Formats: sequence, structure tokens, C-alpha cells
Amino acid sequence: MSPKPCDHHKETQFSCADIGVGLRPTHYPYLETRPPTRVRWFEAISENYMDSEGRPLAMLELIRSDYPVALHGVSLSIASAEGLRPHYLAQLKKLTDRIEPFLVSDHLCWTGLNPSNLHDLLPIPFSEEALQLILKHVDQVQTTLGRQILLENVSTYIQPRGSVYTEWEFLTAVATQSGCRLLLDVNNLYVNARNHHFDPMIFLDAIPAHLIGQVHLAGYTDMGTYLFDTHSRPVYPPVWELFEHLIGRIPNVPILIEWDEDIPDFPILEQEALKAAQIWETHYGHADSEAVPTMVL
Amino acid sequence: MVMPTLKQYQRWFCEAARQEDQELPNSQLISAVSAGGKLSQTEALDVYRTGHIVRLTEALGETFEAVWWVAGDNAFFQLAKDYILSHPSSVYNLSAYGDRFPDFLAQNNPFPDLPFLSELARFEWLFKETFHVRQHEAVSSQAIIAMEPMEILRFSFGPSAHLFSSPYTVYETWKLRGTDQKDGTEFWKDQAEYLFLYKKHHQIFVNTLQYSEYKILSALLSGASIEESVSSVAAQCPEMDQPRLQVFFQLLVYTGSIEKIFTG
Ligand SMILES: [Fe+2]
Repeated sequence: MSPKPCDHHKETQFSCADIGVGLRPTHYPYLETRPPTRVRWFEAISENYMDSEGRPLAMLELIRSDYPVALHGVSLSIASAEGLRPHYLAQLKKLTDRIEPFLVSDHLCWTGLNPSNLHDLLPIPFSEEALQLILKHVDQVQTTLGRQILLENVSTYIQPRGSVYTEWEFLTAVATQSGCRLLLDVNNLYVNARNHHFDPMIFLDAIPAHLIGQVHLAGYTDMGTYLFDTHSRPVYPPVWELFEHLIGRIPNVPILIEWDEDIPDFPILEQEALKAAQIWETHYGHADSEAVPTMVL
Repeated sequence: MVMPTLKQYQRWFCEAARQEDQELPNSQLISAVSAGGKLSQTEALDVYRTGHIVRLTEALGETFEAVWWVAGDNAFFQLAKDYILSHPSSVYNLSAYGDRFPDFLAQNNPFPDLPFLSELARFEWLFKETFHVRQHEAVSSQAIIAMEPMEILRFSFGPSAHLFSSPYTVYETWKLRGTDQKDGTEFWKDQAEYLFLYKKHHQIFVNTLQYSEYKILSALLSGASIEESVSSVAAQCPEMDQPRLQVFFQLLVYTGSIEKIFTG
């Protein structure tokens, strides 16, 4: 019997040709048939599985038995001025112990204050106060989970005044000083560059390669007066260009295509993901192009 | 200009995100942010305010699909918005939002001719909760039959086993959600309904019960023995004679909702 990816995931070396996609309920019926796919790993939204013992968790465990899984949270609220929620951390710890993900990530943002969770990835000032608070919180999370986490740059439509760092300086400072790594979302980077009028290449080149532990790609929506991070479209050409530039520096980082609205059928999502692998191949030669049949338990 | 503390900025932001359409955000918040794109500060803050309503409305729509179907888009979106503005989310998982929506509908039903709306919401919330509960291992029917004497048996049910009663036939309405059978047909009745929800093979089943069966089952669920459960309804439900009781218990065992059995 072939070894399952999960048996040795800690030793698994990812290259950018090892493409992942988000695990979404729309695709459960298709994935339950365990079809062959070139997708090498899945990213699951942590909160969808933290309080459920129902079908979603059974599905995640089925996927986990065949593939490496990354857990990606949306409600950690690492920059909350009210502190982190112990119950949330306890539930996340339980889930990570159960799933044994190869990555645990969330966003560099806050999501609301008690009693009002806005369920959004909200902008922070890149200030010394925010930096110190986030460093303290990252330490708390990594200590609780007993592992390193990754934090993702988010798309924003306002920027609080009072920043003393640029966004890329802030991300670098958080990762360098806390010991976490970065999930670099190239789409979010581009959206912010357009919305807040800076050169995306400067951002991209400023982040030290060794701090980047994962990359996200997605599609935005052009609202006319701003770019909106909707995850409802294929990746746009300027984002592909940034990605192409980036992978010259990071050959061994797992790449994920995000698609959360108007989600297409799985094979279409898979095709979109394969574009990233093709770009990788133009840099680094041919990767295994065979469809990988799902392992039989 | 004195910059607000992180906490002050976050407080103002939360207040602004939960304002009515026509209200302007706090002027201190407006001057504490710069806007993205070609937006004004107010427009940029409005992207977040609108997004908040849209996301929580989607969450309510997913859980209360049948209420949405009955109320129609406009009324449901207005109800959702009113609920969201008066009930901030304190949960971290969007699908756990809306626990008080049934009570809210009881107080704020805009359709006097659809009095069952809140009951329908209550059923949908229970159904959603049941979906997320673990699938237990059912005790086998042979194990139950082997126990003697049967009268003193007590059951522990799987965590998905729940009773539901309503003065209206909400389950019948719920089954029609998403169809075009809302117009012209009678899609609800002013008639009491007794239901038993449970999970089997990871699927949710809903059984419609007679009142007497509902009473026996609620006694069993609260830990009474078979004998105690039956005698508690004997006076009220003389129709539950021995043959009917036997069929009822056979069906109950068949549901697989029993996780453990005890005697004494
Ligand atoms: Fe992302």
C-alpha cells in the first residue's frame, strides 16, 4: 500500500507545484467519491469544524485521511484590544490535536469587540501599540497550540491613521519578533496597493522569503471606486504577474487558490489551481503532471 | 490631532458598523481613518457596515431557509436587518448566529396571517443544532429485547434525540421550502404537531408522533422507566393499549436513537 500523505506530512516538502484549494461544503458530495485530482492538499476554515461533530467534521476527517490539511481561521482576532478568547483558543487546540494540520493560520486583523463580532477581517493601524499587542497575542496562541502559526495580510478599504510602519514593515516586524510566519495573500496585497496607492512590487520584495510559509491567490471585484476582496472570480492577470515574480524567491511554499463566492464545480477550481503549478513549472522545470489518484485506505 | 487608542478606535468602528443606513459614523472615527480607492471616509466605512449586514443575513438565511421562503426576500431581509442591528453577534462561528431569531419573530412577526413563523424558526434552529451533534452508536435491538423484565428498562438517548412540539404544522411547511407550493395551496395548518428528531447513519430523521407517543417519549427522555412512562400517560391517553404500545416501542428501537440501556 502506498504511504498516505498524512503519514509523513511533517517531513513533506511542498513546492509551489503542490497546489491546494479550500475545502468547501459545495464540494463535499464530489469529494466524498474520492476522485483523482492534482490538488495535493486542502485548507479548511477552522471555525466551521471547531464546534461541530456532524457531517462537516466527518468530511474533514475523510479528506485528512487522504491529504495534508491546513487549518485557516477567520475569527482569532489577533489584534483585538480586548484580548483573545480562551474558549476559542481551547476549541482551536482541540481541533488541531484532532486533525494534525501541517499549517495553522489566521489573519493579521481584528474581527470585532464584545458583544459585537462583526465577522469581518478589519484593518488595524500599523502602530507601535498594535505591534506590541499582536506580539503578546501571537505568543499566547503559539504557547496554547504548542506550534507556530501563520498570519495573513488582509484587504482593506480604510486605513486607520497613526501608522508608523508601512504594511510590509509591520508584517515583517510581527513575524520576525514573534516567531510566527506569514501567509502572503498576493490578491490582498494587490487590492491594498490599488486601494491605498502604493507599488505592489515594493511590498512584495520587502518581505523576507524565509518568513513566507504559504501563499494565497484569489480574485477580487472591481467596484469602480475601489477593489473589493470577494474571492468570487478567477485570479486576475496582475495578481498572476506578482505571483510569478514572487515564486522566483520562494520555490518551496504551498500555494492555495481561494474561491468563496459563486463557487464553481471542483474540476474548474482545480484547473484554476493548476495555472499556478504551470507558472511554477516555467521557473523550476516540469513537476509531476499525472493526476494523483486518491489513496485507498 | 490626538490619535485614539486601539481600543477606542475599535469601539467606534463597531458602533459605526452597527448603525442604521441614514446615520453618519462618529466624526472622531471619520477623522481617524483615511479612505481607500476613490471613496470618501464615510463611503469606505460603509463598505464594512454593509458587509456586516450582508454576512449575518446570509448566515440567518442559511439556517432559517424555510422562514425566508415563507416571508419572501424583502420581508426576510428587513427582518434579518432588524434582528442583526438589535442582536449583535457574540459567537465566533457564523453558523451559530441566530439563536434568538425565533423569539424575535414571535415579537416582531410582520404577517398576522402567518402566526407560525416563530415556531418554524424554532424548528429550523433545532434542525441546525441536530446537524452539528455527533452521531452516536445505537444499542442493538437484540440487546434491548434480551433485557428482562422490559418494564424496568430506562434509556439513554443519543445526543441528537430531541422532541419538538408546536401549535402549528411547521414540519409540513418546512418540507415544502424552496418549492413553488406557497401560492394557492394550504402550506400550513393551525393544528398541533409533535415531532421526534434524531440522527441515524449521519442523517437527520424527523418522525411525526401522536400526542400520547410524545408524552411517553418525553418521559423516557427525562430518564423514566418504560413502566413509569406508560403509566404517566395512561389516564390521559387510554387509546394507548398494549398492542399500540408494542408497535410504538418497536418503532422506537428501530430509530436507533437509543445509545444505552439501564435497569432499575
Ligand atoms: Fe487569503
